[in-house]
Amino acid sequence: MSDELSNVVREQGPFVWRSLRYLGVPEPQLEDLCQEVFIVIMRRLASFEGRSMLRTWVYGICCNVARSAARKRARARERPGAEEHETPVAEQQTQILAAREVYAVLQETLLALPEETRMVFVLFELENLPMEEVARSVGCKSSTAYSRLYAARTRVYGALQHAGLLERGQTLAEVM
Amino acid sequence: MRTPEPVRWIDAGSEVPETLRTALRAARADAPSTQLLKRVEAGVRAQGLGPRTWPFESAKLPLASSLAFLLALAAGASVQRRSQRQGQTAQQVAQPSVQAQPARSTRLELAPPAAGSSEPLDSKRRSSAHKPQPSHQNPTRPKTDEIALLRAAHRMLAVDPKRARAILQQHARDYPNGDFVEEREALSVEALLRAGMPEEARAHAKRFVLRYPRSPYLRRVHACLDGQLD
Repeated sequence: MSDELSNVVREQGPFVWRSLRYLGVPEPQLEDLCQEVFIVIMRRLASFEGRSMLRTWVYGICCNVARSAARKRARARERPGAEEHETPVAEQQTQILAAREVYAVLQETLLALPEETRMVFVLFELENLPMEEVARSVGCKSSTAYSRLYAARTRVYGALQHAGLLERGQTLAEVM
Repeated sequence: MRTPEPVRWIDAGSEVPETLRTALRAARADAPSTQLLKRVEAGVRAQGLGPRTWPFESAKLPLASSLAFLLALAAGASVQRRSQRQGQTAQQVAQPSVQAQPARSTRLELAPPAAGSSEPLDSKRRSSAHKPQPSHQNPTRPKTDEIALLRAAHRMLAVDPKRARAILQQHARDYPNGDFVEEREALSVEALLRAGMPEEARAHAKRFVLRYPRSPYLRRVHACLDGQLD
């Protein structure tokens, strides 16, 4: 069946997935929360006023769902016996993981960043949002978003250098 | 004056080493599988949230806000259940078979204990558990009758909730092991509430929650009772 719901899930699914992941949702909960996000999207789609990019709006929903789930986890601590879901690493991803170690350090470093810093990096570098939309998404001024981006870059690049994973010797200043 | 956008690390114009750019491309390519997205879509659809059903005003009609709800029951729920039986769906869908229920649920009686409901649902389930049975009590009746009953109950909910209850009880008698028992029980919560029986609705909802801990209608049952559940 191909209709608006199918299109929304197909088009926004990967973005929702990554956003939830970088918002700290544990792997076993990703699918469930992905579904929750789309339930909210479908309930509220009619009220989307187009004052921001659709992705900014969707990202806001991801934040709410992820935070609500985090509160529940904090209260209940994971239910015992929760099912493990399939590893969501896409085939194409495994194929292009020549820089697997870099990827691993990147992930580790990103998840160790404060959320507001991490999400600026993710939305700008991975999701390709303009900085203005990034700032709107995370609810800060543009200047703050720029500062956070540089802070995140510094941490990521520093971690990779520290791990000896950068083959050439560009300094941080050169890549900023 | 606007600050110019920085060059993204992933872009060719940036000075970062190729390995980092490759890793960023990998991070950007991280996406759920097509199968997973299909499961997500099916789960959303099972909530009665197809494209033409929103916005969904749960405060007004928490369980059955639109006709599409029942259409979704007919079109989607049984498919969902089949996939659950086949172990394809990790959660969200109903648990229709006796074997699939948690052990404690076999003690429950979900059908309203009203006149005409001659036997507790669970005893019927237990008595039928040892032998294979068609999903309908009367094999000559087409499945559409089951859907038609639920549709009729749905129509009656707002105008005559007692009648809706009676129809749901009839469904319980005619289709104790039907394909839409879970939907019937979810609708029964609202019917009881609308019929001015909040305590019964609350008790029914509690049993529903215990029996179908992963029901896609769980949220609606909670919303229906507006936080009355413990």
